[in-house]
Amino acid sequence: MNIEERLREDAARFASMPAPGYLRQHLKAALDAVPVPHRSSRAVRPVRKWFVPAVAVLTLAMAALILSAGVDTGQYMPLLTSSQSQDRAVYAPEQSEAMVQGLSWDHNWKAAAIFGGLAVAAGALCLVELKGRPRLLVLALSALALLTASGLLLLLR
Amino acid sequence: MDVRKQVALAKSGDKEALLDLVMARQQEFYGLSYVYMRNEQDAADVLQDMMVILFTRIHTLKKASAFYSWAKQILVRCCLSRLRTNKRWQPIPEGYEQTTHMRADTGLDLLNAVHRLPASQRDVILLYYYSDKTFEEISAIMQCPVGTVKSRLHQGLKKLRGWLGNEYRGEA
Repeated sequence: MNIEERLREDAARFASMPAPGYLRQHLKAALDAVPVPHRSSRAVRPVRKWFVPAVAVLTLAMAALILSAGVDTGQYMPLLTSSQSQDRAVYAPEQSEAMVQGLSWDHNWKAAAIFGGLAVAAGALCLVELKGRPRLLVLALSALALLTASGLLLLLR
Repeated sequence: MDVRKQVALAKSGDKEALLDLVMARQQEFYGLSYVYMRNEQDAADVLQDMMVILFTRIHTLKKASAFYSWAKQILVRCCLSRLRTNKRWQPIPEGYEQTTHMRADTGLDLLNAVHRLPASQRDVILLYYYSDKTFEEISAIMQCPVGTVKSRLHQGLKKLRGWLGNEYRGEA
């Protein structure tokens, strides 16, 4: 008989080895020393793999929107202050200023609407994915609310 | 016994349900534990460690039908962990020579010979032959490539043949 066969035979012999009579009490004693962990009736599902990247993309889009609006506002402002604008304003100062302001105002409202939409989407995502984790949900929604409020303030200033 | 029902009860914190699940296959669990620990007391103690882990981690078990393979995996890990931490010399337990696999004429027996191997080779042989694990499973448990597992098994068997080869030759 070769060694492999002998090992397999030995393993089969051990698999049917009778357990000592005290085993149940022994194991029960170990279990009794362990406190019952507090778990909610419904097990908390782990967060889906795409959740973090999705929130990251939404947040980046929101940040990009704020930045682009800032750049756009920067582009409009020199129009009002540059000497070129001053020269143009000679012809129709009220019209030009009103047009530029109107353009800027419309653009900002659009940006704010998109920003708000993104914020709502991120919030909904957090609500769906983190509903079993109240602390994390409160934290995520608070951060999102802060970001939204400051973003809207920046966009609509 | 309805394993799914018992697992659900155990997940809700029912210790008796978990105990019933393990005791339903006590021979398998004890035999596996004994192979690693080679004495009754340590085998029973490792089973205690396993029970504690099972109870605290059972909520992570997704498939109730996989309970026994999951539990055995935990038992094997507990045994390996205890063998590594418990480096003191272990005498051959009392009464061990009465077991049927003991070779009274030479004082050598296969399991003792396996335990004389270096830890890495011993673990692979125990996992492959006594725990019925595949090379991939052993590779995952021991965190080494499958090739290394095969090589350790080969080296271990070679050593065992060297030690016991003559004794087993011709037996059938």
